[in-house]
Amino acid sequence: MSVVKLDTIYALSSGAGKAGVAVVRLSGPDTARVVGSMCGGLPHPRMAELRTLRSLSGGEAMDRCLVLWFPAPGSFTGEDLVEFHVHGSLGVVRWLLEELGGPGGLRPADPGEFARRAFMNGKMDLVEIEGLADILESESRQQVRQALFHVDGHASEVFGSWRSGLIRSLALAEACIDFSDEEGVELAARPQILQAIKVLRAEMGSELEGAERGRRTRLGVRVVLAGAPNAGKSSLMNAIARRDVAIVSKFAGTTRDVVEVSLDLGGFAVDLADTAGLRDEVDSEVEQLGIGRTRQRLVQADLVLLIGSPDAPWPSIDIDSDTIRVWNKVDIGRAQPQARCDVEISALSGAGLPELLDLIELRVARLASGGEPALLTRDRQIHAVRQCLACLDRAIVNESSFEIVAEELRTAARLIDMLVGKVDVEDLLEEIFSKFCVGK
Amino acid sequence: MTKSSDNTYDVIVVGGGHAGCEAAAAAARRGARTALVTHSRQTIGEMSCNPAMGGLGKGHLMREVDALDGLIARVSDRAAIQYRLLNRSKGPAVRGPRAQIDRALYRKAMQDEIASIGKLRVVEAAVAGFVQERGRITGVTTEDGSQILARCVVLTTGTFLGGLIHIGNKKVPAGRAGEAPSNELAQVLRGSGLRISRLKTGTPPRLDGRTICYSGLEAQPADEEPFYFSTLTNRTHVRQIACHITHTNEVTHRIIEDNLSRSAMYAGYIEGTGPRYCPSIEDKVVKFADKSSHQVFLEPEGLEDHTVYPNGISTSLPEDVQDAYVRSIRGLENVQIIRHGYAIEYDYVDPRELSAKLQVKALPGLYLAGQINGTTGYEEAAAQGVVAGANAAAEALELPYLEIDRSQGYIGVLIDDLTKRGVSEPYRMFTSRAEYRLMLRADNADERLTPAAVRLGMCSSKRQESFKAKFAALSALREELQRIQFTPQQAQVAGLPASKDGRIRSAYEYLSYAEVTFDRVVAAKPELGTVPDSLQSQVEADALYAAYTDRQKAEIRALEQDREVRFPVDLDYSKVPGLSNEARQKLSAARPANLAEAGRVDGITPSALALVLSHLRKLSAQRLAG
Repeated sequence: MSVVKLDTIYALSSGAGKAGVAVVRLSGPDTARVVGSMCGGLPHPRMAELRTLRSLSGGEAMDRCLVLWFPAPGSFTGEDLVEFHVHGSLGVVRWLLEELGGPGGLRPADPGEFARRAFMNGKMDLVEIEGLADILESESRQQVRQALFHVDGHASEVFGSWRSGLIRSLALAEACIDFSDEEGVELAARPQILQAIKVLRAEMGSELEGAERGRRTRLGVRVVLAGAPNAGKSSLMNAIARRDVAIVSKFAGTTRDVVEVSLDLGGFAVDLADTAGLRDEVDSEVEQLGIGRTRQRLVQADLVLLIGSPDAPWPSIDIDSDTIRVWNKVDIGRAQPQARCDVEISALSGAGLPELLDLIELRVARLASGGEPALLTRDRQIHAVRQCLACLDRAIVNESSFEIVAEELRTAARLIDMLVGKVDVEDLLEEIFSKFCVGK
Repeated sequence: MTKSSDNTYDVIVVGGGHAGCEAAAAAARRGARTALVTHSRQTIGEMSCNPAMGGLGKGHLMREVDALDGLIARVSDRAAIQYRLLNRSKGPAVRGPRAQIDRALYRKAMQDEIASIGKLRVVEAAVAGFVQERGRITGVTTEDGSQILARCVVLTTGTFLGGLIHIGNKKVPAGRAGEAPSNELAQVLRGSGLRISRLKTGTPPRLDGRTICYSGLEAQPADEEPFYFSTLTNRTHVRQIACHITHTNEVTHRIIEDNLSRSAMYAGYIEGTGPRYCPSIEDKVVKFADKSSHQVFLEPEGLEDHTVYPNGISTSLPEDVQDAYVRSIRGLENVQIIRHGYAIEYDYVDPRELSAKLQVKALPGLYLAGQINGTTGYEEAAAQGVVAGANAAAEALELPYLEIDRSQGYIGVLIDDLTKRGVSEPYRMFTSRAEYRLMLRADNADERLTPAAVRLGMCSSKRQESFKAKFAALSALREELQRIQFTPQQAQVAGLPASKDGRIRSAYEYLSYAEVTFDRVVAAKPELGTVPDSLQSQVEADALYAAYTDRQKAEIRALEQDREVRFPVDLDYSKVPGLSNEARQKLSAARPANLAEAGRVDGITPSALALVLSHLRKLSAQRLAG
């Protein structure tokens, strides 16, 4: 079991480096004392007040800043908490952090510690905390929407309704056991139990189906370019990256390795990967290695852009993933595509590129959670709901043994409890909170 | 024997009901010189409400008291006139042994048992108060002014504390119909600073069976193969009879509705809370207005007694209304009422005042058991009686205490629920209260608890021997079933389900299939045919639930680790930083002994626990540093 530290913690909550404003946050029992002596008295709760910030050691003015004071329990952490909005210079921030870390007994926050305290004080449940982590990591509009669904407690509401459904059915099963000598109890309860379990089963099942979309939204849709050598994959990659899409990052691979860019396409996070050309006869060992990687990529891809051109037709390969067949180099004319073609383009002139991007966006939206945010976005959540579903399946199989049905329902309810962090959470905490950056 | 030693005991038990008898017998079994103090020797073992023992959850409690070598199960077997195993068609974990009991035979058998216990003496007296010495209870005073002294006192006063009977607007101070309440004692307890409130319960009118017309009523016969309460019982002692079932009807309900304002309950004369699961007929008519009929079981009170107990129509309506609505029921048109029904209100002590030993935390030397702790039912009372009696003797003689965990028995569930959560209505046992229900079966109560009884020296040699023999046979059978293995082909030939994975399976594994009964295994291995039925069904049940019990055992191990994190007795929760006011109050009231107990205090979240833990770590760090 990890230890909740109840000393006062501080951290730079905004990004490092020069900026207009930097936010430094403190939380814990000593906060009021520190704020009092640095600002010459406590500001009004929850009101932005302009104060001169003075050093704890000598009372020397360090900055003029906005102070936001949140007394417990009405704060993010549920403890006394303050935010100093100081000038975002290295000098001010460094000085302030040095002061706070001085002999006053304050301690720099561990990664995720503010959120951990919020959880410990019952301000957020586990699902909300996970949503918060996702918001902080988000790169696209859809990721934000999905994460907000979790932060705002909507996901927790769904889990809560599952839990009450389970408890309700459990109560009915228990009635059949403990009140079996009462007329009519079993007759009335038995069909209701099965019905309720089936409804819950269907809801959980459909959320599990949507989970892959949720995962794609959270982690990005994997789009892979593939084709014969010289079909123009790299030029297409560059053309796409040059257009109205924001390149988030770019990693150049080694020779014949995979090259990737992350894009925001219509609000969806997309990982676009270029691959080594596919050929049926391979000369060198190095090339063989590259092609092996390409095939692996294709298996993992959510969407494949299969590129062909008059001088490098589509290779004959089987692809299981969703595929868009692109015919490149229409500018060099002559040969027509021999097979079904979704879009004709010229990566060089840019012809057909807007249509291709529209097509990709459409498919991506379908692959990710289009519109509706997904309930289940993490392996932990998916795993718990799968186990829950297995309990319900066993309950249905053993439908006539109420004591087994009750046991399965009790276990399922406990799994949901664990999901929102009501019980047995300690093991999960380290992992979940390790995903957080200091001060967030 | 000198005069003073004549009046000095190790343990005094006040009350001769089901809690009192078990407490006195348990204390004596542990070697304590014990006095059972009661108003009247003749009412020892009286069944003041329905003439039945056992049922769901309750039958489990009786088997467990029996496993601890208590009395209730074997005395019931001497007086059972209709055995019925409830939930016979359901899984073995939720089957509950029950029987109609001949009240006179029961009383006689219990009084014989009590008289046969060497270290136990019955004293007829009305207890009025306590003798206290340096903050410790060291005896009782009686209404005639004398004192009886002891190292420990067990109070089992049932509904007698401040008992008040209601029939319509009539109020009669009484502990039971026709018996005086213990009002002085109630005053003493109220003055002791313990949290005391009121509960109520009710009883139906008693009918003269000779005036009931049974023809046309559904008969409910006894089971052909009786399931005895005690593992020491091997035959049916008394002739078996049938009960009958009739129903209330719209006329009955109209009579009750028209007279609701005259019911003690509905006219607001009663302040105590009644049980939701055992409602009066007034309650049933009002709360389930859409039901035009309710079941009434006509239960004979004995073979030689023509009194009939109509189970399902307890009431606090005035006599004339009782006459009218009872006679509106089919078969009871011309019935004579022997005694009218009534509601009774009584004092109970908030059981959170007690430790798991059933000892009053604020009054050393005093133990409470039975209805005084807010429970209802003979079986719940008996279960507490064994624990309180065994522990009073333990304290008096400096022996190890009897403490039963929730994972070991319904008795553990009962005592843990009472002392940790308290009660808001009379507490009755249900199987659903036991989270380890699949492990805590009626058929394996002896395996779970008899070893503890042997260890604590409260188990007769007769039971020890019979348990040893049964346990040896059971272990041998389990080994045998593991040893007997079937290849897929052998299984097919033997008529067992074909294994799809081609794996060799043991006979025990096959038994874990819901559709494989012991009979099918016997068909495959005829040499197992000689195994006694009781062992067969026990092993069958073990195998059926094996997958679940393995998981539960893992949970129990985790809990045991939490239990090792002990909380200091003097832990000041107001000093735990960050703890909410609510958590602070609840923990201060519950005073959990360890992390596992704290986790089960109502409304305590894991985050609150984490705060307490962190505080404890800080304290121990300071202690090391200081």
